[in-house]
Amino acid sequence: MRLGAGALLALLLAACGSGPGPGETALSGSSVTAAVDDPGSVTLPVDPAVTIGHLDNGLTYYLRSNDAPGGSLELRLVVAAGSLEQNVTGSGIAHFLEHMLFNGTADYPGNQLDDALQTLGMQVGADVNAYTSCDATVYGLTVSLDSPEHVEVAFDVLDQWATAATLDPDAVVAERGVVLEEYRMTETAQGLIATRFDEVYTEGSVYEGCDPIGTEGAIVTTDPVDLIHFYDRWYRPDLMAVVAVGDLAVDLMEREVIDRFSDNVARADSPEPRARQAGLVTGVVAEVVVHPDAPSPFVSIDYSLPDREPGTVDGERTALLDGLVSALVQSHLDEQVAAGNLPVVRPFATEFAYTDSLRFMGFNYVAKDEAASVTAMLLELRGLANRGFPSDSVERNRAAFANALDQSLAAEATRQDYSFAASYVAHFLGGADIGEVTARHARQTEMLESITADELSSHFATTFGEAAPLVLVVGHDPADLPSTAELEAAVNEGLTGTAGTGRAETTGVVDSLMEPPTAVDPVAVNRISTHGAVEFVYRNGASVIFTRSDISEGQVDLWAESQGGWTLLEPGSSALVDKATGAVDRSGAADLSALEVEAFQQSAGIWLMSMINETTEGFMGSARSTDLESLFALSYLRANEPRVDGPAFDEAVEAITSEQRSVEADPYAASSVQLADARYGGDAYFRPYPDASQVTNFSAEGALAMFESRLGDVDDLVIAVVGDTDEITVRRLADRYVGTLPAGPSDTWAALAPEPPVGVVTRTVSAGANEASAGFELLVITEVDPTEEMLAASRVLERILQSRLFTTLREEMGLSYGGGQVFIDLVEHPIPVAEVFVSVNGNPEGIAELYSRTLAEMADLAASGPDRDELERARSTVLTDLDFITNGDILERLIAWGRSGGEDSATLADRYYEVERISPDEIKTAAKMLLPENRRIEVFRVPEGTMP
Amino acid sequence: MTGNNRRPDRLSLFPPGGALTLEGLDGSDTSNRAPDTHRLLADLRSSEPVS
Repeated sequence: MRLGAGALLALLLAACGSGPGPGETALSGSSVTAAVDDPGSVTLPVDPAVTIGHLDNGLTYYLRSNDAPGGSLELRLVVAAGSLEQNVTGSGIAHFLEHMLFNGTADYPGNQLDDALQTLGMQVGADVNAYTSCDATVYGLTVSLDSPEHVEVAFDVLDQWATAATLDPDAVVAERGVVLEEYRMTETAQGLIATRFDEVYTEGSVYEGCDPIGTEGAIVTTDPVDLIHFYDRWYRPDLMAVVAVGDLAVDLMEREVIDRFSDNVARADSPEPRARQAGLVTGVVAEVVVHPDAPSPFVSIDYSLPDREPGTVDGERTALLDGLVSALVQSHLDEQVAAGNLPVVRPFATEFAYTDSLRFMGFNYVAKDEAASVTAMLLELRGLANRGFPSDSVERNRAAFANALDQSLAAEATRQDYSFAASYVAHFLGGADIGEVTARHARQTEMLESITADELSSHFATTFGEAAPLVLVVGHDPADLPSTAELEAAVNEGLTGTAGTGRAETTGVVDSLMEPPTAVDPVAVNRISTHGAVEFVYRNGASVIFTRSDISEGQVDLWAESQGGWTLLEPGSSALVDKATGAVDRSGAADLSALEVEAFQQSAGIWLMSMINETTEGFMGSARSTDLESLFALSYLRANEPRVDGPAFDEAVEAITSEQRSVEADPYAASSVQLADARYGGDAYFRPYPDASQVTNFSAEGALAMFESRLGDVDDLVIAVVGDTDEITVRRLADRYVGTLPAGPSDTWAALAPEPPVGVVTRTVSAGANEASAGFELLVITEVDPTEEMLAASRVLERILQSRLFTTLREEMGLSYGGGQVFIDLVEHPIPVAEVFVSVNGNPEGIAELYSRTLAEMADLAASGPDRDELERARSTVLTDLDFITNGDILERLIAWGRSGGEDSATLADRYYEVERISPDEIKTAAKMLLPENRRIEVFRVPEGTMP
Repeated sequence: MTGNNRRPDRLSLFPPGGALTLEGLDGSDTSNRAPDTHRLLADLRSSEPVS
């Protein structure tokens, strides 16, 4: 995990400042010039493109007209009250109430709301959702603007949530099972370990003990009267905001808000929410957290950061300093690991916010000797704090941040509705910066230039001087972990021993990855009219297919694929291919070190990963429009002169260890092993994880050889390029970096895959800690002709079955939080099949009921087909999904065209119209074919020693 | 910090839709952000001949 371009952007755009809290003065899009003595506390100006207003009753609204993605509207109802406002800390009332707003309002009694929203194309979970935190409760809708009715219904639903919950006692009782199921899912080993971290982070703050889900006892005895009391006291206009961002005129949105929300009133007394301040966590923590189901051991070290005022001049500078410091520390740790000076694997450093007011600088990593590593790490950090950051590292990271700032400015043109909506929610709740992007870019660029190495070093030294390390070592076997006393001694040694005296920094600045090869002309240039694309075909067998897309301004995406995959490697290689590609991706290339390549990638904002799949191999990547050449050059270097360096190989070995531990401790990983074993009849064809001899024999040379054998040359490589660039540029780069790749022997995949098993194959695995991962997986494999009609039918069928399982397993039976997750995939190679995968998580005592109901719903669909209403609701939500496309969707179609030599020419529009057209009879036929009663693999995650 | 194992400090009413992963099921954040989208039909409709 490294800071890619996205993470840099996130740091730069991190919440900064104190704007208007709930109930404060309206800003109405103008800048605020408060007359204050301290210029650093001046609030940053608000973007004039957002209309912020207040109704007389105190309700705030944020409205913005925006055309990305277009034809859509994001709505939020924000309630500035959360679990902190409960009378009883662990009651879970705020969260339970949030559930109840979907179980009956005046206009939508019972569960009618779900159906009504699905009819408008909204998918529960994706387009309709809500969350409760200690700080707030937020409801959200994503509405496609197909008719004015959609807008009216959506605003009406927001108003219903704000004012018209029925909170029927019978409905409360009915919802208890669902909330209990959600509670149960937090009781996994990982959930319990995370709880311990939460306790450490929040001790002594207003958040101490705040856990939105509440206790099991409280959920079981939830009293409707308490829900009504909370609703009436805290769901009131002065604590609410309505956020609307989308492809609609602001005056239309404003009329909706005024018409619907002006008559809302407080229904009870109006107490003040609790103050959200939290101080520094200053006490040293040294703790070994042991759980028998814990994942592979790791070390975490955190330092509390001072609260900052978001949205102010000072807050913005602090955010920038914190972000730069964490990037500089990351660089330093990587350099020390590469030089063999620090005994840890994959150190990761970042600043993060637990809540708006509780922030930390955090590290985690893996080490053979955890105690010794903690001493070494603390001494290393202290030494760095004493010496300060070297100026060349500061310059390198400053340049990377400046480039990321430029990119954020370029990307603003297609900034998405949901992104604006999220920032307005953050502004209402915590005063985050919602300034105009050009002004912010100018301000932060100037700020970046003015920040000196001394200021950064001093900021880092102060941070470490004020806070104490919070050290937690997590693992499952006490014999392999330090004792608490040993860890305490190690921390003490790290705090009092002689700090490191300084080591040479090793990363040079790389201006370009390579000299461009001499260009070659394509042997053919073809126009692909169906896709509005152009294809350049080269003598070495490679081709590049390009189409322009303005979905993401300033960005270009790439997907390359050739045929073969691990079917052409040694048996068992499937278990190691992603370790081999990962090791190459994290290493240097040609004569450049891993750190030089990574620093270059960060500065240029490019991202590239390689992959070897079952029947294909290739690359995926992304670049800023201004740095597309770097992406082509890196792909060229990875194919031509790949390397596997020591630290990257260590990370791959660590990943194997971590996976082995997952299979032992994580019921889902164990289930996937059983599914694969049942599907392929043992591991002769497919092995998900390496066996003991593979682990023993795994070497850097072997990983490199595996990579080179599939990705070292080209024969039928198809590279699709989609994004904000032009044909001349792509042609120029393809001539240089694709046409010149070495040609290899022609090959295709090997048809070795065994047929799926017949009949019903049943396996069981443990449900894990507290039986919190109880449930089951079903996999039904059917040989089919993967036509466009079958694809359309399977998409609608997938949504119908998912919706049925949600309604029955969750809403009706109350035995599952998620209902069932359903995926239907059509696989073309090596055997054309449809794979229906159903995963249900639920009450360990109700597994038999959940299982028989799931089978009954599948059988009913196979026998009778869907009813007309559910089919139309499902069709509506699938069409909405297909209507909103990404560069990735276009890339997939171009790759399919290239891979099939033009035979697969279906466009995204074809696929949309196929779903629009498909008849109930065709869906019924597909259901009958894909949901047979007597053929499936099933794996139960059940309490030890039991079996339904 | 617990890294990938970090539990979110907020609870969602429903599991997130779309590309659901097992990590997503237990509520943890699995991606920095969703990819940008664009409305297909807007293009199709604007490219249809006006009679």
